[in-house]
Amino acid sequence: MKKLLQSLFVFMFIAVSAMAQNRTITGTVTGKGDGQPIPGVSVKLVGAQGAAVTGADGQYTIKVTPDVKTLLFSSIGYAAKTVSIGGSNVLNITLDDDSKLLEEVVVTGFGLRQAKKDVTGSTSTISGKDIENMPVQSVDRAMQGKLAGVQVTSTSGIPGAAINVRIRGIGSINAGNSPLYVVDGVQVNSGDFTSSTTSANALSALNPDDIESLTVLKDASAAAIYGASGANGVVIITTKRGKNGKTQINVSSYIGYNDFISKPKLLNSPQWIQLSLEAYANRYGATSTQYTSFYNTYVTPFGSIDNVPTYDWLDAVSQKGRTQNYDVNARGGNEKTQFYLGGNYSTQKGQVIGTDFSRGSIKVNLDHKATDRLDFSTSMNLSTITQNTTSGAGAFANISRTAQLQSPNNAIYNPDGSYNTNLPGAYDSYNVLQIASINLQKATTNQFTGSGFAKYKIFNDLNFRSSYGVDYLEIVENTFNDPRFGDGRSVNGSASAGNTRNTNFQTDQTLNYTKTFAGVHNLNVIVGFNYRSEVRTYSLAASQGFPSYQFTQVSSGSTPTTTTGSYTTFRTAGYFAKADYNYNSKYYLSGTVRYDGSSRFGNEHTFGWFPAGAVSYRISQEDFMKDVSFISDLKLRASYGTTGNQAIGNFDSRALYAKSGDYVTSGTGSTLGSGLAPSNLANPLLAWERATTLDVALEFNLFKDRISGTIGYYNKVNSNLLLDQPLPLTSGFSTIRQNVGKMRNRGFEFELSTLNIKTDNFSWRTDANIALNRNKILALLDGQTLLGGNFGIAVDRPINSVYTYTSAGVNPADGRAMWYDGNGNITYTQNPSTDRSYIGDLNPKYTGGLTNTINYKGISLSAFFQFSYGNLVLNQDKFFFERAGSTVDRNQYVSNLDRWTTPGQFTGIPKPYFGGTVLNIGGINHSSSYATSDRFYEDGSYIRLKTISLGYDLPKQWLSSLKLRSVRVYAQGLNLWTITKYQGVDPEFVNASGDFGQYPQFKNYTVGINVGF
Amino acid sequence: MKNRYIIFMMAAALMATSSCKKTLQTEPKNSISSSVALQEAAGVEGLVNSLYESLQATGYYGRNYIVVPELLSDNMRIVNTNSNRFVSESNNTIAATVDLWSAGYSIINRANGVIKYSELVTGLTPLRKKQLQGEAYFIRALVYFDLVKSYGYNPQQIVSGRSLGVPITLDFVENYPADIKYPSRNTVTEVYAQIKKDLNTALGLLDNTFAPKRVSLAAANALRARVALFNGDWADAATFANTALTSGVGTFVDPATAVTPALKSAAYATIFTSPSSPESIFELNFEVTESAGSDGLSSFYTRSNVGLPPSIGGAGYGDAAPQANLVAAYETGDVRKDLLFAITKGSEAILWNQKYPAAKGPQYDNIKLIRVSEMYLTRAEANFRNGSAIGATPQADLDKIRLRAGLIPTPVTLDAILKERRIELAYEGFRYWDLLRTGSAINKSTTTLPANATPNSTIQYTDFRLLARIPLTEVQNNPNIAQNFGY
Repeated sequence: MKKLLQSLFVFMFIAVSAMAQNRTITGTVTGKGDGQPIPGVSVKLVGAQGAAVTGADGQYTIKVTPDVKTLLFSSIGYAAKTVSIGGSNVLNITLDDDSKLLEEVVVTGFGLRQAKKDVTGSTSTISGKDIENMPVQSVDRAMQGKLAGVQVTSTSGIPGAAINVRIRGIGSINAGNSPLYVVDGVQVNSGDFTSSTTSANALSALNPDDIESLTVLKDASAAAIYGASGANGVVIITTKRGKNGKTQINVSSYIGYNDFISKPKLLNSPQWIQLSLEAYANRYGATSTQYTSFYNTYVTPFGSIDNVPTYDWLDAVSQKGRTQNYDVNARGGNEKTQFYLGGNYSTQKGQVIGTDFSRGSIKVNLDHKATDRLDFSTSMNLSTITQNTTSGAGAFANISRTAQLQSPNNAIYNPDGSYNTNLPGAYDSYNVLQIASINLQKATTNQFTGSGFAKYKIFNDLNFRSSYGVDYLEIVENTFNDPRFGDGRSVNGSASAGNTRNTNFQTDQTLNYTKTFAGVHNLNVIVGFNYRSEVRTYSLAASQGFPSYQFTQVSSGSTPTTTTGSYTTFRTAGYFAKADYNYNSKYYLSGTVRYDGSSRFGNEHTFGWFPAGAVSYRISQEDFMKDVSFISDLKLRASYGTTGNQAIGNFDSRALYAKSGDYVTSGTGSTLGSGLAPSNLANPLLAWERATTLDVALEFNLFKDRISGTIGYYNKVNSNLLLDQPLPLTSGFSTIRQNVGKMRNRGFEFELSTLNIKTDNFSWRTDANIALNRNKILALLDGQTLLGGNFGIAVDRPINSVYTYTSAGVNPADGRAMWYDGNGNITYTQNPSTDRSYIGDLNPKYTGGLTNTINYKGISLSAFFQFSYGNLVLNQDKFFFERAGSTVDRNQYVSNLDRWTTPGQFTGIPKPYFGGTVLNIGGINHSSSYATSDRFYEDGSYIRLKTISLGYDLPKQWLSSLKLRSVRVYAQGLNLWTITKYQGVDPEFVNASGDFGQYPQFKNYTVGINVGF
Repeated sequence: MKNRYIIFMMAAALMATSSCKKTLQTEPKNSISSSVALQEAAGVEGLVNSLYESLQATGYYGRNYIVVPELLSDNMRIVNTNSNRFVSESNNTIAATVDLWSAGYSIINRANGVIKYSELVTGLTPLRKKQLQGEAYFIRALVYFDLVKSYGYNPQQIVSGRSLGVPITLDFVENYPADIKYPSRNTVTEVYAQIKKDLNTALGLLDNTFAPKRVSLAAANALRARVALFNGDWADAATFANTALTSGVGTFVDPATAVTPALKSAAYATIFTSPSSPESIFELNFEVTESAGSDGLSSFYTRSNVGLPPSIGGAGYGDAAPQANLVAAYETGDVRKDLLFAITKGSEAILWNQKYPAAKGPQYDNIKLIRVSEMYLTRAEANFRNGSAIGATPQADLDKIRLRAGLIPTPVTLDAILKERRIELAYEGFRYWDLLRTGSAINKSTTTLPANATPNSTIQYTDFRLLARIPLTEVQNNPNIAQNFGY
């Protein structure tokens, strides 16, 4: 196959280079880094037709006509080089690695690419190399810790689940906070569109290994071109494209397994029964009915407490999940046409039974030069994803939660091997093992993202680009509840089939003018129009009453229970212009304006202006700096401007009547008539939220690229926040959306890359980033300091502030829980109006990452740490698992062994007391011993060894005999080591409602191989 | 060649960019805009259906408005092994009360809309208009009655200085901000006057065509009787109850063939196991598509299996059980006690009542809002207090209820009637309001303790917790609303 391809392309090159020649030049092309020959380098005549390509040994032969003076050498991964032909017929060339070039290119949207030195806005970029082979399903997850100011948090560890990305903090309360994702020019959907399964990440359609680069536009100057969609930042993803030269084929694979990062430690049966009996004894006395009936039920059959067997439910639902990934891609082309073809198959079984993810995807990118003036380009991605999930947080059927809360003395199986469904306690009859093994919660996502453009050079300096894109997503969700147990039992089985379809169409029309005047005035102007429309439909059918458990499809049910659906749509349209001017690459001036409209907004505010400007000064270009040899580049930049956030409900501004249930139309029959009710009051003044950002930064590059980095400051004020203004409930409506709030995020960002040691055989590189963000709410509804009585959202405080009681521990005399009242005195009764105070907030103060990479000959070792510091996390699991016997129907953490038992004992966990509320001591009205307080909020700071990988590139000389271009083998670990004080399952789960029975994240071990042909 | 490309591309660009404002016009399809919704008869029909839909909601008669008063009173409690629902209500914790404010006013607003637009739309026959308006007036009256019971004292038992009821709003709110008003609370007396006025209007509009699943003339008479009983209008209560009983809607289930206790028990059970109760003057119909599943009433009282007796392995929570003093109140031989099903939950022996046994389908039943038996007890009490015998003597009505239950007659007294009322209407959401209207303290169970409960407690009638808390946001947002005492 490979040979066939080779000959095919060799044939192509021969075809285009069949010309009359006068002279033959030969030579070997080698890489500067390792001195090894480079196969597949394109060698072209400059100024005439004719080309050749190097063989596996790096050698080439090319025939040259007398008028040709120079040759152009180019290859993927290397800087192109133009070489003059001298007298000799032998020309040996060394090529520099591409990555070492200062001329890093940043993709800034709408087809614009700028050299990093010329970018005036705030951007951060990671290359495909940084994220390839990471065992994650979507690229947004791979961004974590790599980019300053980009915070990535998970809400579920289910393979393929959606995640939260926040750029420069939280800027909105009710509109979305997710950035805009643009993949190859198409604004794509991110997030979760599932309805009946747990979570699917729309970005997981894109194989992370197909990605060439990912750029985050952070400030207004960079993002204003996206107008009302740019306030949360823009993530621009560019996929790999073909390159002129010999076709390179890469085959890679990794396999491995994933496991729990840490498992909570639970009580065994004797410990749990002892705790429960103490709770009854303390409440009712050791001779009470409650005590004795509990004892007789659970202990007597076994003789003594110590004989009661323990069943490890958590262990039973755990498994070592397998991870497998296979990639094949080919890239190449000639002068006129270049292609990239990628195929991927990836599967991951979760570490909890019944959960998995598998994806197959195909990527096709083609570029074609039709004439000197006309280019065509297309990018297509097709994928199909299947996910089996389980119920989410809070649900009985949520395996990872219920398996922990299940009383440990309940057997998992009956003696005959069948599932035990007699499970006294909080989850009786819900045998999660049975549910996960037999019930179905499956989502299949098919996604196509395609875009293409034609670019026409009207004049030498003026290009017209017409671009079209479609992002099409279909999710089919099937659920089935077996009639023999659980939710299905009461209804004789139930099933549902849901279908979500999202069609997102876009077009951009741009004119781009680039010209250099008098050799020093560089001007680049783009004007354009952008339009996007999205239609989402959803339909769901559900039925119940199945002939037997073998029937699982909705059509087999005897009674249809639900037929529902929805339709929603929005459109945006905007005109924009951006001008970049620089004087001799020294003084830069940039201005952007977008006039943007959205169908989501009220009639009176459909359109609005989003302007931004930036200046930048490359001090290193000044004459007086020329002598300062250690400074390679030094740039000071500043920007100011406005972007918008239009991520609100599609019809929030309209007065609407919606279907509102049904009711029987006659006195004795059963025919139903539809209800209709007002659902929303109109607000024609509703408009976008407005983010105004000031951004100042210093970029530096010292000692010839040995030290480079950025120090930046930003101040971003989000105003016109959409808040729900309460209406008097007596009006029949509760709220109406208004643009009233104001919130600020400001902070510093540092990015630093250093090449600490660099010798021929050894190098050590460090990449670090750290971001500091401070959030503050500046205004809410008129005259109100809290939003709807929510102390977490208060003026002059960070969003998600924590306002709670302060625990004073446990009274050593009698084991009662104590708190401090507003005066700092001990109290047993929480008074909501006097005893609460602010103890912190859920936003990290610092986030960042640190990567160290060491290369020795072909061996590379890379360790990537990611950290978050200074945020509180509500450990909601602890609220359920550290009740010290307040509830006796569910298992508890081993920390309950430290409960108060004897007078004089100092401990943090109160005495077991059934019901939790101590009664009749001194006439005090006690609060529950596990009532909320700072005891359940923990420091969520952590530093985590996110990835560590050890790789070996086989020496080129070994490979040439095998006709291979490169072979790399590696072993990699994900989430292997974490330092944190947090006692819950995972400090990375950060959301306002806390950590509550979430499907945990995993750690992962993989080994892999990449082979280049 | 070159020109053709340019023309093509420019044309495409022009097509995409033309008429921008129009380009951004979108129309919702799941919802329709207000300008067209209420132009035709179907719109008003739909709006009326939504009123019933809201009565069916879990937050109202679908569950909470029946379960919560039972738990607040001395009738029911949350058992030790529970799903964490309504534990605070069971313990009469501060502010753990009925929460009907928001849902109630949403229904009232739509009822106001029906009353307004039924006069304006095209295509409504005069007869249909009367029925729809009658339904709207009835439901508005019902919701105001439930609101004023929850947030204000009974007019006969007003605690000194606390005479406020709830705000009366009669205008349809459809435009922001023009229609938004900030009303203050009307007195209990004013609210009762409005309820009576609405019911009297409904009486003039309704007939019995749509009984018992929709509002009928009989239902309006019955509700009018209930309101009169709560307002101490004894003669009215007896008269309207008598009219309701003689309307032909609803049958007192007491077959002549039911002579043995077993047969009497089986006959009595049919009131609750028939898909549509023979005793219903007004019931909320549920079809399988409207089932609230585990959030329904049945699920909270018991655990059901298709075609099998209740069991621990059945569907639902089964969290609420009668308190010991209610169980003790059943006399020996009372066939109504057969509706209690003994089960062990966790390690605790409890009783599940089978008044909502999921007899109609998985986890749902029709919910009986007005039963014939209630009207007999209302007529008995009103006649007794009034010293009259409208329709029948109080003794006769009391005997009727007791004989059917397999009990011997007992001399009529107010206590005897109220006790019979407690047993007959147990688990149906009456007890708490009956205690409030008689100015009684609530004696929480003294033997088996509910989880977290203060034992042996008596909540005095004047205790502020007996009135519901008006939502905090409402008090913050509308300074004209005075919060109830103590909150």
